[in-house]
Amino acid sequence: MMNTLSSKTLKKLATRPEFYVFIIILLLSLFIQAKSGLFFSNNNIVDLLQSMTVPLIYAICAYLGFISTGPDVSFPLIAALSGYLATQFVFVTGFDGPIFVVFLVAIFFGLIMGAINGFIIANYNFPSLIVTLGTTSIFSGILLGVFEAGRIKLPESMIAFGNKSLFEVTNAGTGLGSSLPMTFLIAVSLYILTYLFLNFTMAGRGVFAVGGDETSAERAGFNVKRIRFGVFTVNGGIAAIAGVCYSIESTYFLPTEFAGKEMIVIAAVILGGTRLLGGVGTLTGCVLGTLLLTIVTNSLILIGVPIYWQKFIIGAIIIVGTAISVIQISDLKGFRRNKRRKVGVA
Amino acid sequence: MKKKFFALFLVIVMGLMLAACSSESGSSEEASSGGAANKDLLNPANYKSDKDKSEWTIGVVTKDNTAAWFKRMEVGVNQYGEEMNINVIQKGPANADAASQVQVIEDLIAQGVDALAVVPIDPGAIEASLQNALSQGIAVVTHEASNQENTLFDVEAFTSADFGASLMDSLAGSMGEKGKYAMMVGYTTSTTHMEYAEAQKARQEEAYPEMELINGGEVPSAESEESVDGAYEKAKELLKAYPDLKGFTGVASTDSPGIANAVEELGLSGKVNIVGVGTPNEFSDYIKAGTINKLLLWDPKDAGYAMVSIAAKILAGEEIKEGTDLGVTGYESVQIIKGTNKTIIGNAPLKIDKNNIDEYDF
Repeated sequence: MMNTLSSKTLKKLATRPEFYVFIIILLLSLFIQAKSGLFFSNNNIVDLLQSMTVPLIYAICAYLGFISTGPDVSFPLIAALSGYLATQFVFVTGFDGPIFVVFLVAIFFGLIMGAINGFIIANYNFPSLIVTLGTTSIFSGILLGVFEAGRIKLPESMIAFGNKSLFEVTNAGTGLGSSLPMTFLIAVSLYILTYLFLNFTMAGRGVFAVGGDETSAERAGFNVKRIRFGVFTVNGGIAAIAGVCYSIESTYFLPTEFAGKEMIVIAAVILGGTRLLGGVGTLTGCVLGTLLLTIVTNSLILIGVPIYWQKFIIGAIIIVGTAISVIQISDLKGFRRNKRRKVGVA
Repeated sequence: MKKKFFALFLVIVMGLMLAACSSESGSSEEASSGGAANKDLLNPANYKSDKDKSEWTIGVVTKDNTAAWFKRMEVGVNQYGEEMNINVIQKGPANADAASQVQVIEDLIAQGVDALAVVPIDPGAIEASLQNALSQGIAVVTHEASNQENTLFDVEAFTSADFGASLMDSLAGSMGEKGKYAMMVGYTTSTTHMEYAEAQKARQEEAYPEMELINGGEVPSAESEESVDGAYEKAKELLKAYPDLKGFTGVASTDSPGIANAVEELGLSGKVNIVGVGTPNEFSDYIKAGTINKLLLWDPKDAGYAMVSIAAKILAGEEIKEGTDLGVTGYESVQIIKGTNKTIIGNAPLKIDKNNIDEYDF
């Protein structure tokens, strides 16, 4: 009885892409550990968590975009522009109070930018890829053209928050230290909030419904336009949080470093099993996909891969990783379907 | 009906935008077509001035006169003017864009300056204006624009090979000439970055046999993609993979702050030496804290002095050749790049560390 149950859960697990990503992560970390002996050390793990923080937050934006409508590629530039405005707010007003006010300012601007996306996408039913590509370009123009933003050392109050850490570890063997910044806590809270929203509110279920089948969702009583508008607006707010986190971590506001980050984030989300055409995907998948790509990008030097091969390997892992889970799952599902059909005939 | 109007409105807006764009690109095309420079125009000997030295006016045009970098340049420009008793004026555009710079150049031409010394924002965009200046008998020199066509001389602070060697000398000095080191570039596709990196390695192999480039001597060790965060992540990994790493160089301005952040976080301050490229104000905290040992760049003051000095020599009818002394440190015996006959190269790396950082404010 026990056996059949666990094999059933295993089979169920095996139809989920997260399972394969998890296996790949496991194998990869064992391989890196065997080659370098440095993977499973406390400071390396903390380093990984630290590098994951901002991509994790971005992943929520990409994820919400996919499950409700389609690709959202504007989050890096919303992050950049709202991060810039929040930094300027601190400079201009000389604000020295609690950091969450800085976040609120950024979120305010992020929501406005997200609302522009949402309004165009929901109201005119334009493809989200085209709209967000367009707004990306506009936001980038505003940031670099209108504001002429350059590299800015952050004000002291923001740096102070960036230097605060949840905890610090020191590797006994090598003496190398590492610390986990507070921003990681922000990422975790965002995941919890998103999880609760998607699974326990009517609007949250609506996000999946709208992405799965627009017409059915409408007939079921969901306000499709309002949900899409809401998702992209919220995406703007989340991106703004990521923007401030990124600046805080690097102690600079770096206007040119945001653009282009969307690709690897989207790759991570797809790798984690989110379907491009909407309605399907889990937050667990987002976390695992992001974890996998962070491990890959952060460990190639550890195992001594030459610099010119690093990009090749990252690309290969994205393709192979996605392919493995897609092929495995369609095989398994196909197998089940065939069996059922046979039974039907008999 | 409403929708139709909206669509019509969009079409009109689109049309206006296109019109605006096309008129802009039209003017820049005009500018670049002026690129085909006349041979006679580019012979420095034709620009000898008949006026007395005290009547000359040399106009210097910068990218942005409010930037600390060009304020520093103005010090050198004015110094030359006072020493030689020549009128110099330094001007910059109101906005740091190519079109505004063209305006400043045209204004100075209209004022009847005898020579122009320009630091172009976009060399291509000012070709026509510079050609106009030359055809009116105004001598033109440039800085940081080795691909400028309508200029008599372009002056650069150093060759990539010399600068790379200086970076290595500074690193070797901080490391005690032995131990493992790593080098970071912005992009492996950036020609200058890779030239700096290759030159560092060549210098190390020639002069510091006890030093060793990690990863079997592969150039470069890492690529920051011109990102402080990228530099930080890559540096952290290298420091973990090579616990006995003693030195680090970074040639993009993003590299050394990223490396310094990584070194600080890993608790290796004092054990890893960093030599980077950047401006003193930007990195003063790191230099003072000792996390970045040395900063290399060139001094805009001396470059400004050298530029005006060349312009004055042209007006005086002096020939500028290999070995000419421009009268300022680093430019005492200039090289001229063969083939171009107009790229003048000094050897003026400026090395900044804890002891002299307060002397530089740019």
